[in-house]
Amino acid sequence: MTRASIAGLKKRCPVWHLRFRLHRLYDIVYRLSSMSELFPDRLRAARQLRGFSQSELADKAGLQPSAVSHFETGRRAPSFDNLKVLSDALQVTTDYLLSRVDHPNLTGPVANQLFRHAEKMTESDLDTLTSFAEMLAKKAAKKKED
Amino acid sequence: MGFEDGWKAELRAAEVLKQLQIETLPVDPFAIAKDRGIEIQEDPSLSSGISGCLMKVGDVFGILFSSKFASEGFRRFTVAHELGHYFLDGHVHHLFNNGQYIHKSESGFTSKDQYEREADAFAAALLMPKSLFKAALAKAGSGLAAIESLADNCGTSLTATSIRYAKLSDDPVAVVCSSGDKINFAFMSDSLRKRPDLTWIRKGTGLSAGCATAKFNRDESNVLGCRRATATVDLGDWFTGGHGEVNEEIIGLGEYGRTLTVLWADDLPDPAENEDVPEDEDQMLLPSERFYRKSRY
Repeated sequence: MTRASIAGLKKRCPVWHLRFRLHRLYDIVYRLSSMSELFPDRLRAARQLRGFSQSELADKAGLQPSAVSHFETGRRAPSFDNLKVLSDALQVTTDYLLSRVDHPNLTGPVANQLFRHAEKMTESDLDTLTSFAEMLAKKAAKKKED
Repeated sequence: MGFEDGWKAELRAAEVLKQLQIETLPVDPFAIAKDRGIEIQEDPSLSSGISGCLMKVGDVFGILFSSKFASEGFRRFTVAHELGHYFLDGHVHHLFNNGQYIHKSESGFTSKDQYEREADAFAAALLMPKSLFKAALAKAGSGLAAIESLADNCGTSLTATSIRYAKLSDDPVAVVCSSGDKINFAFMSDSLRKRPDLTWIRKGTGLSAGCATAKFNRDESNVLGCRRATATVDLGDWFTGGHGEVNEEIIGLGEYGRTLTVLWADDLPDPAENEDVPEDEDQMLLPSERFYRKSRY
């Protein structure tokens, strides 16, 4: 939205103008307060660990050249798909990028738990099992609520 | 799903389709998931409140969806909805914020959660891409017959297709989903929204007792038996303020327990002149714009 059209909005429809401004303010506060603030730093650290420049990483991950810079400044929040391609390109786990673990090769607690019980499973089996386990846990929790 | 939000989802869906070079209908959400390495599993034992879920275990993503629903269109929409959570910016931190590793979804076109609505918008835009849908729409005619042919083309449910139809049609169209005498949700096409003389049909409000849909809904077997009805009604029966003849086409959605009504016309008489609308176009302009015009013309 250009400056001129914002001014136009203010004149024509003060309520919408106010909402627009509030929305932007909310957006900024939300970004500062949520855990997404950890992601930019973690991404930068991982990138420097592998010695890539921003554009090199973007190229490897198949993203637009500016995307990495947007992520690292916190201007853009990633999607799961972004996380996946970035973690593949950096050879770190998505959980590391999400600051769930502090080592580039570790994954979060759910997978660890499952590895304990089913070490010989393939990834696809693991996924199936997790879905069942989680689903059952959810159902049990729901029953408890009822 | 308001008409302002959803543009981001629309853009993202178009990007995904472009990246995968998908240019024909029907779009296969299962193939898209496969392409991104997402495991998909069908499960008959999911409780009926959950239609699907997106899961992340380490670096593996999975979509589990319920096969309880008989309609293929509903399942495809559910998978596309979960893909929405996967592809849309910012859904990571929203969905997994509190340490949960699993996200369950309920898609029903009426969620209050912005992220759910966005995923619904993504699903609709993925399975019914604007350009392809509009091209098919041009051949499909209008009303319920058009919706049925489009649903067949896109592999989507009647409900999802009708919403997309109302959004993208150039004709005056409204689709209303109701149960009993209550409106569950309603969507109106742009050409109806733009009319200053109409009050919009709102979800949660009651059906007017005189309309054919209200009569249809009084007999439950109409809904359960997927029966149909048609009527020609006045715009004023549905909207206070409007006049003009419209077609009211009704179909029961079976065990879903709801009724779909399509109101459409090829053309409507222009709305009566409203005194509140300034006659002079200049009054609508900003002072600077007025100055610009005067100096220019």
